Amino acid sequence: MDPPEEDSPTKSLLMSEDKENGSTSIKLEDDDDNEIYVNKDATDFPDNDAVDREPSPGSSLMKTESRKSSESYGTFSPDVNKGENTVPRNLTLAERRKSRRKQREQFKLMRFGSSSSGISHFTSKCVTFVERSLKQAKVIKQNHFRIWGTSIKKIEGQLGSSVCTYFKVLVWMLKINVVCMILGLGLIVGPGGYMTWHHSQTKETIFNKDDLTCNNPNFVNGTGFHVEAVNSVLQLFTGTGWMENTAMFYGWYPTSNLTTNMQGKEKTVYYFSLAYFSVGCCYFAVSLLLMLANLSKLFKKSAAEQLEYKPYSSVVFTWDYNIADTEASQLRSVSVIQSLKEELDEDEQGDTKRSLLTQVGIFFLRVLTNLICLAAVIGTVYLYVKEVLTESTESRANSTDSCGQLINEKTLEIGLEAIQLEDLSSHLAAFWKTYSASIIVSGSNVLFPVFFELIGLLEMYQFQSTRIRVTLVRTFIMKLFTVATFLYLLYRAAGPSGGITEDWQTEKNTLFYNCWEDYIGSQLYQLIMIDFLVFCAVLLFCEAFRSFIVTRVAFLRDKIGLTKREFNISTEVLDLMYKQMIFWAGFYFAPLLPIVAVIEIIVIFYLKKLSALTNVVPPKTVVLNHQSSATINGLFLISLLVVFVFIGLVIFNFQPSQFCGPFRGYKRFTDPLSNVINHATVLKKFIIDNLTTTAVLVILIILVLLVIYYYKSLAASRNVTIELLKEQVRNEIAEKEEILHRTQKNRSKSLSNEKETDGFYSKEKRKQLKRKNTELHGFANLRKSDL
Amino acid sequence: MGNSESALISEKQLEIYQLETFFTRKEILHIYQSFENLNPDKVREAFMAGNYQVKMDYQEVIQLAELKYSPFKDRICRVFSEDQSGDMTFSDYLDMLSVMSMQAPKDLKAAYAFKIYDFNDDDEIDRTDLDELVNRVTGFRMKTEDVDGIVDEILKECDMDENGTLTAAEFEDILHKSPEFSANFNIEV
Repeated sequence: MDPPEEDSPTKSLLMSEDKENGSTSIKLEDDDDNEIYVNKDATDFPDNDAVDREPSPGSSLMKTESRKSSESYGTFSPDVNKGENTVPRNLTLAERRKSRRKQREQFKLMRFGSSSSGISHFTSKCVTFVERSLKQAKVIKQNHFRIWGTSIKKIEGQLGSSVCTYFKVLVWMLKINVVCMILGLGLIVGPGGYMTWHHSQTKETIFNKDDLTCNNPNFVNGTGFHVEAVNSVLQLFTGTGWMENTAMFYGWYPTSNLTTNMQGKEKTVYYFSLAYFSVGCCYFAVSLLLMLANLSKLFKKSAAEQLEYKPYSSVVFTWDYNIADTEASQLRSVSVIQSLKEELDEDEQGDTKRSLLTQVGIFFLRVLTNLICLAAVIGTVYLYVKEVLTESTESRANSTDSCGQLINEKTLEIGLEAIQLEDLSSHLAAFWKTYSASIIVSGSNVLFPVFFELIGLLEMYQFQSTRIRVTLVRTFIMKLFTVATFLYLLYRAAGPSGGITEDWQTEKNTLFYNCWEDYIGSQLYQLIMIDFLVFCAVLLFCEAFRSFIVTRVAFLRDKIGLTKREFNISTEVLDLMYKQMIFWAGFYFAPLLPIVAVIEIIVIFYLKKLSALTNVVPPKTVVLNHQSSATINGLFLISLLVVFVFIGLVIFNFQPSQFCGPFRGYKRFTDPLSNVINHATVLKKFIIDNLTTTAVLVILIILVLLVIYYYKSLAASRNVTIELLKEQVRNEIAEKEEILHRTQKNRSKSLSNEKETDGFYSKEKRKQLKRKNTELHGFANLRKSDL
Repeated sequence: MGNSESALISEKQLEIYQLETFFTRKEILHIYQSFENLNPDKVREAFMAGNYQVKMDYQEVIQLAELKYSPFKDRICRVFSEDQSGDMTFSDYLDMLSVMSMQAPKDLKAAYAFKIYDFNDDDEIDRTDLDELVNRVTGFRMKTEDVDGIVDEILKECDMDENGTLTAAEFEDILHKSPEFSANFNIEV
């Protein structure tokens, strides 16, 4: 990219300038990622009244610029506090170059003056090289390696930066899922595949569920393998049938450990069961860590900014210059008007309250509507619980009879023979039975937000943003509820009726499925597939079709005022959160699921991008704008917690299947871990035993609380400093005004002998100000960098 | 792509541009491409003759997609052009895109934003400036009373010394509190 000969010695000197320079400086970054420190010291920038700028040598371009800058300053108000806090208002290119040259010369003297010995010169060169490469890497990462950066820019240009939040959430989800995918592939699928292949090579027998014959009382016929091609394809969507025997699900993985023969002794190289369990926990831990890191970064950025949010100025002064489209420009104006009007209304309404009667009426109305919402959600959930549970008990009654005769009802079968009407209805019934759970869940995800919006309209909120916020909260709770119920149902349907008893090995297993982890995995996989199909259907019918109609049929557009669908950011982000919840739930039971997740996210991105660019209109009122990344992160964290609770319950309460998966022969999922710990050396055992006592836990908690308290008090003290500095700024401005006034007064007095009022402030007020200033003098040396 | 443009701008010139702006060599050439597209013949001729001072008229400059639909296109061109007339040379153009790029620091952007919003060029933003600003941002769709109300509110929020105008310091202070400012004050070519 850059020709290497640009590594001139002058440029390399620029790096460590800031250490030598004590005063504050503005950091500008060159293309070479050299930091260029422009000194804020007033001595570098002569007072604006003295226009004695020497024309900067160099190209003629810069000459005109320096002239332009000096002229355009005009009557710029002089800064009272010269010295450290002076900020030159405009840094034209000429000034930057001049200061840079001065810095370079200064630095040259300092540098070559001090380092006489060759070694220190060498080490400093090494240090600057390392620093520079780190900085270069950071800038390259920021500028060139943004995932989908160009696409997001395009969308931002057309729809504004708040819609971009959705796509940024997608990018961030992709990152998390890719990390999980790498973990899973590297640590589970890879070794598992290798071991299975290795064992098949050596013809060792792995105790596999295919070994079960009908004579085994625990055998429940699985779905079998159907020859018809259609079925196989459909089974791709159901996750049953042939898919159960693939690496997709838990059941395929071997239980043995990878051993090598070293000097005749068998040494375990890779504990597969332990690995599976730990990676399962790591999925959650890694996601949690990534999200927390992101959250802390966001908090740092937004904490200072949200201290004082000026609603009017922010809306008016931050016009989006990215907009490159006349329609988008108009839409932006409309949304600006909307937000301004809202602010005006808010202020007005704050003064004029509603009458007491109306308030009471509205209160009862809202209580009623909240009850309706709750009833609707609970009703749907109850219906679907009843539906699924009755279905499963039916199947339970039917499948344990014979073997090989009865086909599991979860399989969808569509034969290639002619379908008659009666068959059609029975097929539909079978279809419904198979997919009912997933369909109900996905359907409720689509329909409930609409329902909540309608209710929100009924409730007569004063402000649009409150209404949207309430809808958001309701949708979020609904989604949590739905997922929790789904997982609970899986818990009920898959788990054994009793707990873990002592004679678990000999007791007749009343397990419904011979491999319940597979069942959970395939149900979740099914849900993901159906959800994706519903998503595509919504895109197709609600967005594409509607925009097609709106653009072709003028009648609808002009008379009824039908427009393209609005991009409802909050609903879409909650939908993403829901998808991620299902992914997290499924990772433990289906090790190939991260790949599916990554593929799905990529597909969703491109589909949504296409739809956003052509079929959709940006929303008028925005609640989740790009500032609310922290809120979105928080929502994801809550959903992670919910999923973790359920999956944790499953993992720690159930006993693993006897005939499939890497935990065959173990009583609990945590057994491999405890085995390893028990066989470890005495020292390790001692450490681990003591680490898990309550005393250590209490100490850790106290430490964490102390750290939190420290940071909180730090933040409080900084707030106080901010207030004092603001006060100081106000006083300085007042003082400056007074001086201006005085000089004007003096000038006018000398010109004409008119009498004027005695200055801006009375003597007492001036004394007061002076006293305040000397009090605050200690803070005058505080700089922004100290905050 | 790279060779034909780089032949028109000398290496030394490119280096100077890189020093002056926040762009890399590749980006400068890309920007040159867009500059040339405004009026290919004129620009090519001039650059081949070594005349880097060729000016593009205001009418030609606002053909740029990002400027065409912006309500502030006249102000942007005026602020960044040499003689305040709106005609821009290539270095003005580069300067403009450099300030409005992602790499430019917030202070620089705030300073230029102040210049852009100062419609009567008196180095302070007073009521008339704010009036004009609100009108432009809302597409001239609001009633005068509403606009006045909004201008009052803005002055209440921003004007610390309560003299009815915003100085550069107050303006920049306000922009520091608006997180969207750096994200929005961008033009990407």
